[in-house]
Amino acid sequence: MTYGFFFCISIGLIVFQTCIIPVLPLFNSFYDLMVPLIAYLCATRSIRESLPIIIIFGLIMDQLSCSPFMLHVTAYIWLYVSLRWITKVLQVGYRLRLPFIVSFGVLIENIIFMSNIVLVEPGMRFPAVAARIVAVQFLWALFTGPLILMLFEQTHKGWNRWLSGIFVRRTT
Amino acid sequence: MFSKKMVLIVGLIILVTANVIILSLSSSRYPSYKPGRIALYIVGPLQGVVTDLIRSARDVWYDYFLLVSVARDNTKLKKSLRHAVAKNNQWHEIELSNIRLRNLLNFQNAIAEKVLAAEVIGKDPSPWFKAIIIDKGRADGLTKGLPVMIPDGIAGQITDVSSHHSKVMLIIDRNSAVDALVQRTRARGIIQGSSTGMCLFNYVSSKDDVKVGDKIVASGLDGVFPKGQRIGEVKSLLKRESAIFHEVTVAPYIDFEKLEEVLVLLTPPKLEFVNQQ
Repeated sequence: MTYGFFFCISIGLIVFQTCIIPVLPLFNSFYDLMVPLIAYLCATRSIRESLPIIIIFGLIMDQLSCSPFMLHVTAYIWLYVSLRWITKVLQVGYRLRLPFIVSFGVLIENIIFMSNIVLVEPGMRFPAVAARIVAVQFLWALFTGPLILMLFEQTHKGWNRWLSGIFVRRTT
Repeated sequence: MFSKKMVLIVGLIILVTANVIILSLSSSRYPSYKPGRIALYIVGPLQGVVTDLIRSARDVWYDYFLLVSVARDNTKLKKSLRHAVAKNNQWHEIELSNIRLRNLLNFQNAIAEKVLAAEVIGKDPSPWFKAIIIDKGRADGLTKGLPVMIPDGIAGQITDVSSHHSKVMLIIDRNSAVDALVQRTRARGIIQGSSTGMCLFNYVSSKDDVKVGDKIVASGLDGVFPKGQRIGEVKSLLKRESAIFHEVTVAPYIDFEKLEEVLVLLTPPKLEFVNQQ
């Protein structure tokens, strides 16, 4: 059931990101919406439950984007590992971590993307627009990241309530 | 024999090395792979539905809430339409005589290429790469490698096809390359994308004459894009004394942020190119 929830959420996020965000003004440098999902998985689910979702949706994102094969999968796995490590190092509560966790995630993802570009094109210089993209994404993540995480939390609770309601009705 | 920490560090090094090798290998190839086509099957229909909903909402806005200005425009347009109908009648007469004359001279039809119109239903999820998803696929006769254009110029090339959807790599993507010419001087180079939304016109010899404002067109030598199709205009130029090539930035004619419909060329000049070789 957990997989069902994350599958629906991920598909919804991908469609929102590829269809709705491009037509919204001011949102043209919005961050990857899979980052808060990975942060949420990292905080609430086990590695066994998280990894299949991360790999499947990394592959889907790879296919929808013009990125090299496995780039999104790589970025998501390293993002997950880094966020788990940060969670271990920062011994603070989930609520206190909320404002920073998505922003860190966005930074890590962009570093991985830029490293790949440098790897493919040695000697390549990043234009000022690249720094602007990262800065804007970071700020967006700082302000909207916690809200999105809370939205996931509430939706997940609602999903569980709805499912348990169905099971209770069936058994009685 | 080995401590847990040691095993962890060695494991991490192996993982990073394997990761770098996989990425550098996949980066040097075409950004497409067969099993991943499933993504287009899963996400494509949903993107189509959401895009339709957004367009319907936009249509509702324009159709109902802007009716006041539309009524005013309507009166003006009716007047101009009457003039246009009269003009159109004249053009039609001229067109008919043109056709007759063409037939007399045994000319071929001016439109040589077959095109298919497609709607943009999704964009690249990452700002570092530039691709779009269109609502036409293999069932409509599309195949990998076909050129995609709009009347303003060249948009990109199809890199992946599912039965009803396709992925198009735009010319502003860093993996894209188009063989091009400066229209004025016929100086040749390669148009490549960059993350700025501009294109770089690479490998233009420093001996060649290039100026800011020069028009860049496809050379047709890549066997994908038809010769003479517009690409963009030279925006900036850097000439270094010791360099072999100019550093040229080209502003594409197409506004890729507002791309909604595209034309896919079903008969690319590939065969023509092979024959020329």
